[in-house]
Amino acid sequence: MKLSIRTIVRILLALLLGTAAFGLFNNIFGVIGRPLLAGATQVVDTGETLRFVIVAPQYDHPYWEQVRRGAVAMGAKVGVHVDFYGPRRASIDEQAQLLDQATMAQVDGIITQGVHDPQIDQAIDKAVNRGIPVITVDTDSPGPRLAYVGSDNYTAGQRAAQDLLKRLTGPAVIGIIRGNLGPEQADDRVRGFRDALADVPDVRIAAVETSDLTRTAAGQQALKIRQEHPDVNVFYGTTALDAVGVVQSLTTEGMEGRLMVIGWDDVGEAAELAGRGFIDSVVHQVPEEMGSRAVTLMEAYLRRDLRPQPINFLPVQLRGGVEAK
Amino acid sequence: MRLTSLQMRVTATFLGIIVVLTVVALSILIHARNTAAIYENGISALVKIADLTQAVDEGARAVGKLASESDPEKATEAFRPIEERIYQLRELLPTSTQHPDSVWIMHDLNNMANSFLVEAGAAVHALRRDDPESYFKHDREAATIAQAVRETADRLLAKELERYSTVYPEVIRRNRELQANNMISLAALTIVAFGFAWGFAKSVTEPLQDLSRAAQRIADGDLSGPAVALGASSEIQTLGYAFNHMQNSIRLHVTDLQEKADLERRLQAEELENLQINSLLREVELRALQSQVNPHFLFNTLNMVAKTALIEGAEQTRELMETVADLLRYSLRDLDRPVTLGAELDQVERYMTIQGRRFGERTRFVMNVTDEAVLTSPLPCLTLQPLVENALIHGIGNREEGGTVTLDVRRVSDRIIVSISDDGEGIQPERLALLNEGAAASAPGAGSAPGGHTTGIGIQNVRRRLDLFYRSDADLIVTSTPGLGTTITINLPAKGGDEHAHPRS
Repeated sequence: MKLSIRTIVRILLALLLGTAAFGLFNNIFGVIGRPLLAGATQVVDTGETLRFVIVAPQYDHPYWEQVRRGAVAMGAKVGVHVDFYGPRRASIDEQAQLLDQATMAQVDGIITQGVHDPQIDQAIDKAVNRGIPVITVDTDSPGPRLAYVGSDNYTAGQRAAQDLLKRLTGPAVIGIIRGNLGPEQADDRVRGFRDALADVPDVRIAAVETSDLTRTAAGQQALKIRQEHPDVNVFYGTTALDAVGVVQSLTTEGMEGRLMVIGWDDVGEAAELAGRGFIDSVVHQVPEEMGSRAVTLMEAYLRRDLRPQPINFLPVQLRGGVEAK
Repeated sequence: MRLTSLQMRVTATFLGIIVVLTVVALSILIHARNTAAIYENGISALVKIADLTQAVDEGARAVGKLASESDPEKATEAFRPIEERIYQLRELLPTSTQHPDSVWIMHDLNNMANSFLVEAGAAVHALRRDDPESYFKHDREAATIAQAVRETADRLLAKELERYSTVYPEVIRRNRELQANNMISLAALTIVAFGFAWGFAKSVTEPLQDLSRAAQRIADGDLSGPAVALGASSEIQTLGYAFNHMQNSIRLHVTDLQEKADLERRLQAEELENLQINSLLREVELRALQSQVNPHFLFNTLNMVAKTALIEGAEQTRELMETVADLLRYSLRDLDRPVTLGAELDQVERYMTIQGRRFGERTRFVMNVTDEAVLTSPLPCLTLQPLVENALIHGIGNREEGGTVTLDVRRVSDRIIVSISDDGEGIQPERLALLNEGAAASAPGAGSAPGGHTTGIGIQNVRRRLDLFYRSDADLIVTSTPGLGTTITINLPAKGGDEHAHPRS
């Protein structure tokens, strides 16, 4: 086909016209037509949604992360918005402050760890006085709280001690690293453990130290115990991070696996170390279940006025290292 | 209105340009407004949050100062406007947020402000009850809440600003996109508009230029030019159509006029020709009559003398007499009627016989006819005799020693060449030129010398009669060398006499 210059010029002009039209089309539909803040506006109308706040002793903690997951999942099912608060570093002061803020913000329900500490108790008292129900999880702190959801820590401590005795072939000198922030006397996990071993000969508890819920501190405390009591051959950590810290401390000296380690909670790293045999046995709890159960009880209480049992124990298993996943 | 009309095209082009420019301008404007709206809404929301925080702060400070007020009533009064303001600001808090996490923080803020009012109210109430211990407790609590309000507001502002921080790059990006789009569109539009303008100007000016050129041509008198091209637009088409129509009309008129003029001219020419022929013939007639005073009387006398000579036994005289009589008869015949070449040659022979007696041995006459067939060719009467006469009189007549006149007739393809030559004095070149230049001797008989011995019919007369008879298909050429002789050559068509109608028959 022969293309005259005229035809070519016309085609070119048509193409240019098309370009111009495309640019303008883009302007209209691509630039000014699209909203600047896509899906932006969130209406502040909570309607029927209840709002619960979990105040954890620490924000980044694998165990509490599971509590949160269970609570949020259950909340989504029953129409409850669950927020998760916690100090960046474990601190009684900050935890109490967060509890106070939740109270000031007039949330519908508070889920927290019952620490035997006057500040926390006071904060819980204040919340309950303002008409906000409080459920304690993981650790109870008897008082005006609505209910406790969690393990029977005293019994579980006893079972950990019994498990230790089963594994022992000789005398044992025990170092305890505990993660809970309250006083030792109120720590059921230590109490149960200690009571179970009280009358056993050749088994003694050399030292009890607090880890402040960080694995570094736990490791340092384990080191300190071993320096002060070189004959320690068993460690007992009462939270997931404690056992992990102990094993890490042992690893720096190449002692991992040579000492007996008994821990709580096969979550995160703890599960892995248990699997490799560096943690000999763990007390297996169900943190997700704690979260979801707490939400369920609170929701039933607020919406249907069903007052829960004050104590709701959840099952605990003692898992030997290798069998724990 | 048709799509091709100039008005339509101009309007459409300008409309297109205006639309594009409008869209460009509007898109910039709307984008600016969208951006401004986002910031306006956002900032007004943030300002409300900040206002509430400030009000709660002021409230906390006010509650703290109440203790120094001696009159509890006054303290209550002092606190009331702050309380009112916090209430109002709580109502005014934005009902929507940009960040999804902000929803509950906004909620918290509102509730905290409420908690603050409760505590502050309790503190004021305690003051009025004169219960300083309770007052201090609630005052401290209110201060704590104010602090929490500030922190929460900070968190909220941070969250919301985080959202806006994603908006800002988007605004910049869209600005750039808008600019690029507009640039491309405007550049393309410029080129297109230029193309349209060019094409438009061409479509208007080209036919107009054609038209003006054609008009100039017509003004110069040339009507044969081609029709002008009709442009693409209907207005120009109409103009061109009208122009072409006009040109055709004029051309027809002019052709008509020219044909009429041609016809008239031809008629005039024919009349003139007839007149010329008549005048030439009359001249020949006149000359003939002049040379023979009373031809019939002479003819009869000659016959009578011839008979007397016969009776007296003068044989030569009788023959001569008869020859003269024949010569005379030939000259007296109807000059309008053509004769044959043979008859003309007979006449020349008779003439030479008589002249031979007159000049005696001084003249010789030689006649060569190579092709007898040509003798029947038609010829105007008295064509050759005047030429032979010329040769005799002018070529030999004045020479003591005499000379020879030679007449040659031969055929060359379809032409007959008749040449009459003498070996006399010849003709001077100037005169020869005049003789060969037919028009120079326009007057009848101009070439003939006056003298009673000749019929006086000049070369020019012969030439013109040949022209008329053969319609310019015959030549008469005189060649001469002074001192050696003159040759007159006649070149005639060798066709049957019937094919050449005499102009008068």
